[in-house]
Amino acid sequence: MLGKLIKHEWKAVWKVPTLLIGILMIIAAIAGLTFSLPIWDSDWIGLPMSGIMLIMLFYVAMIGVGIGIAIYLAVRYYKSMFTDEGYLTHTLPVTARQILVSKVIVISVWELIGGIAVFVSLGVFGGVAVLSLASKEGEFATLVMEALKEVGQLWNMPFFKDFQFFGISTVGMELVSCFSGTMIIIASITMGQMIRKHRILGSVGAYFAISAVIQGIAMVIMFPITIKMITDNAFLYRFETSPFSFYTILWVVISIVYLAVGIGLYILSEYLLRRQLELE
Amino acid sequence: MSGLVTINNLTKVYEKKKIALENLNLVIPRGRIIGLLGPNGSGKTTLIKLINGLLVPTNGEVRINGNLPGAETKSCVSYLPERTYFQNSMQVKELISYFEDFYADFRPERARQMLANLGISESAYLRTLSKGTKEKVQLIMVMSREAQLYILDEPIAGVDPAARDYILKTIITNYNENATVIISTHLISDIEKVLDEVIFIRDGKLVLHETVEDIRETKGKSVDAYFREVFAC
Repeated sequence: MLGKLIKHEWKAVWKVPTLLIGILMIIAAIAGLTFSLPIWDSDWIGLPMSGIMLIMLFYVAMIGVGIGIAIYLAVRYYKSMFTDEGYLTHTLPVTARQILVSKVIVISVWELIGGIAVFVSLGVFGGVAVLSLASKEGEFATLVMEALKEVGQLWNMPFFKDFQFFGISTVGMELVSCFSGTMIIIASITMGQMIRKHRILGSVGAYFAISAVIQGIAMVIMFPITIKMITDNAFLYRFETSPFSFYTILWVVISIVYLAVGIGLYILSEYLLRRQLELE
Repeated sequence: MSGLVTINNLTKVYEKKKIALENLNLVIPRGRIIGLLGPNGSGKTTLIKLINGLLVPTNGEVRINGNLPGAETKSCVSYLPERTYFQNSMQVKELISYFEDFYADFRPERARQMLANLGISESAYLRTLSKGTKEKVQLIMVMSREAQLYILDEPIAGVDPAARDYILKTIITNYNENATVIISTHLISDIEKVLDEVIFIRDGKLVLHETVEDIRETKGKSVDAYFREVFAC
């Protein structure tokens, strides 16, 4: 049944996030294409300004796509669980746990896809921009290739020692963030239902309350780590020592905190769905 | 006759101490069509929601086939809420596939036949259908299951008399004879002819649970007339 729930949930939600990501890619490509236009050499400030505006639009779209997907999935969760559509969801022959797990998986996967899409859009923007410049100035592509080779040589510097562990911990933190981010959305909306007369307001309030608690926990944990970082002169590495092993530890600590918060919010949400469900 | 649904000391108190149901005890038998009747705010919908697990009781319990409301009971209860509850962005054929996936007792060929009889296209999106047509689609989906218990909350409210006849005909011709149908409505005279038993509820308390035949014989009145007498303002 869990597989069927995931299948139908996926079918119900895939269109809007895909559309948002498609729009982001188109904006990235258009922003990259501005480099092929002669506007940058114009004497009139308006033309390069319009190019800058397009690049800024891409920047806004990168931020907006994640927010847009999160808001859409939050609204979808609320509608499918606590409005008229909830009458179908909660009368399916499945357990509250199966319903919740299916929602968590689908939302987390879309959060992850949204995050990956932002990186891909940067690639699209950069790739199109390089090709655009290369089409204008034939030597540009050669310059880029040489620059990339030089960047490759940086790997041998002490600065990049332990970078691979940093990379793995960053990916791990991103995955955990998708789960904990999803659980913040789900728990906020589920907790909001306890305020029977003001369910949406309750959800928004719960979101800010949960976020404040997480910020508080993060501050308590980060404070001694930050002090240690300062005393170790971690900021003064000047390319002679690597900061990445330190950040790897930091990311692991943050991941553990996010994971604990996500699991805690999951347990709370499941309890509320089992024991406090009250459809209008 | 064994009870399909057993309700023991069921109490539901909403916020601000509003008592919707108070110490309700009831045994609903198998193979009957039962009218759940009472004035507005009497607790009918609350009782239906509790049977379906959409509310959690403050006290007491509901058991269906001996089980508390959960995945097992939901697989044998077919529920029509008093509202349109399908996702508007779905097509009718997607709904059929949805029900087929989740309910082992769903009969898609029966649903398709009823849709065809009413001229409702399977390709139609729910958002393009009128409220009345959406309600008919909901009823078709609910009655295309071979459930043990059908719970229909106001199935004929807000539809024209011709549609009422169609809905009642659909209920009568599609329910499994070993199953029980609970119909909650205000329109008693329209459904009286199909009822075996009635349950009267007032202020969250059971007023009466009798067969229609007994009411006619002992009171010498129709259920509609008796309801008006009992609940006279």
